[in-house]
Amino acid sequence: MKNRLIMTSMEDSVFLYAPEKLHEAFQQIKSDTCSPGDILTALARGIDKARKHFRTGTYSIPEFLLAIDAYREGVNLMKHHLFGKQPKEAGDEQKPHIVIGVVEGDVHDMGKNIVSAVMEACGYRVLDMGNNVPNDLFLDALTTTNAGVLALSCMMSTPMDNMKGLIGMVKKLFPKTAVIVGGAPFDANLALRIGADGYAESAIAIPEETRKLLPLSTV
Amino acid sequence: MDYLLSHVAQKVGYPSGETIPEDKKKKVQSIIEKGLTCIETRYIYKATPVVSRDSLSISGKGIVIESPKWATLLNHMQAPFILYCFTLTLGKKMDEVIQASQETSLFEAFVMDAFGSVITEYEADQLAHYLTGRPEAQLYEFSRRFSPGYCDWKLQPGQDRLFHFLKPEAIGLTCLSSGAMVPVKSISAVMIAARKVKKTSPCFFCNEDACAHRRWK
Repeated sequence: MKNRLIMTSMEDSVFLYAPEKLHEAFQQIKSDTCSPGDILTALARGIDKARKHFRTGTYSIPEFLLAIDAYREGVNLMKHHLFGKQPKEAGDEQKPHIVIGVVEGDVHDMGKNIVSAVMEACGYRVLDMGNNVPNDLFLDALTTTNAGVLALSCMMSTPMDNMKGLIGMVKKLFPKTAVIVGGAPFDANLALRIGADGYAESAIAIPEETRKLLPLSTV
Repeated sequence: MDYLLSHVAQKVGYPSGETIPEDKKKKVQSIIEKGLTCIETRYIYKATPVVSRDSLSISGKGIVIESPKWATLLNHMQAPFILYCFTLTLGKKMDEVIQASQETSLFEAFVMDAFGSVITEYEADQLAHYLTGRPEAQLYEFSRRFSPGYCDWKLQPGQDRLFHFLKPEAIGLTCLSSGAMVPVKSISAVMIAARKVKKTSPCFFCNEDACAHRRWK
């Protein structure tokens, strides 16, 4: 019962961005009665609440980002203060893998970084390749991770041809990997035209788009 | 600060500076104050007379602007024409601070990024104001400033042409093959000077109602 109250407090601390409350909650946890999975679930519920509030207009982007900051603070507290630097989290290797990055020729990565944080909070393992990523590095990452989804971000129109080429190569070499695209030049039609399987209109919408292509229960 | 708070607020999704909740407002103000210490503005500009024009482009000495719409706009101006070209950057420190912020707080990074964009536009406006106020510019009227990627001036080769003309590597500004500039908080732009300017941008005869750069409804 006490753990349940603590988990609820964690969830609220993320949703309301209350770092002091988050620290208090962690001080009350004992590592032998509470698993990393329980904590992550509570923190993720806070993010989910924030997403819902963003959808209804109660939250704007800054509030949502504060919730993400609180989530990341919670994960850091869990890793460094509760379970040690490299906690073995049961089921971690079973989380679906996503590779994400900004395509070659583009250095704008704010949107990508937000998406990356949201996807982690929603239960995916994310390999963030950074920005201005050459195609061959994306392909190497897919080889290494066997990721179920490649998420590509682009804020400019000039890298589009190259992006289309990359998607073609992914389809050929990694037929089981779905491709989601996002960024200012895109809409659903353009995403389809360049061969993508999905289109993320925003960081808020991407978890649903990703779950269509890569359910969390997928191994 | 009110000006900055208002513009940054709108950029990050609030209707105005007044609508930011009080606890967030303090954070935003603090980020703006931090951002102000990161600005290392540098610019480079060059003016050249227009030596030829046709329906597709405008040529100066050492630069060609391949934009049918801006070439058409010259029909609504009185010669002689001069191209004022410039690039401006806030410097790499701003980029570095934004990148570093992303490791610790996406909120801070997002607000700082918005601040950087607001300041870049502000500095570009200030530079345009300076150029149009110079003694040699007093006999001329000016178009709005426009950049590669605006209207029908393709980002590439537009950016290449400007960079070849201005050589802004001297102020630490480079350009990827895609046209993206590094540091990111930078602007490249042109203004057309003429004896008389009846219309300052092609928007009045352009049908692209949804254009993000539209300056004429």
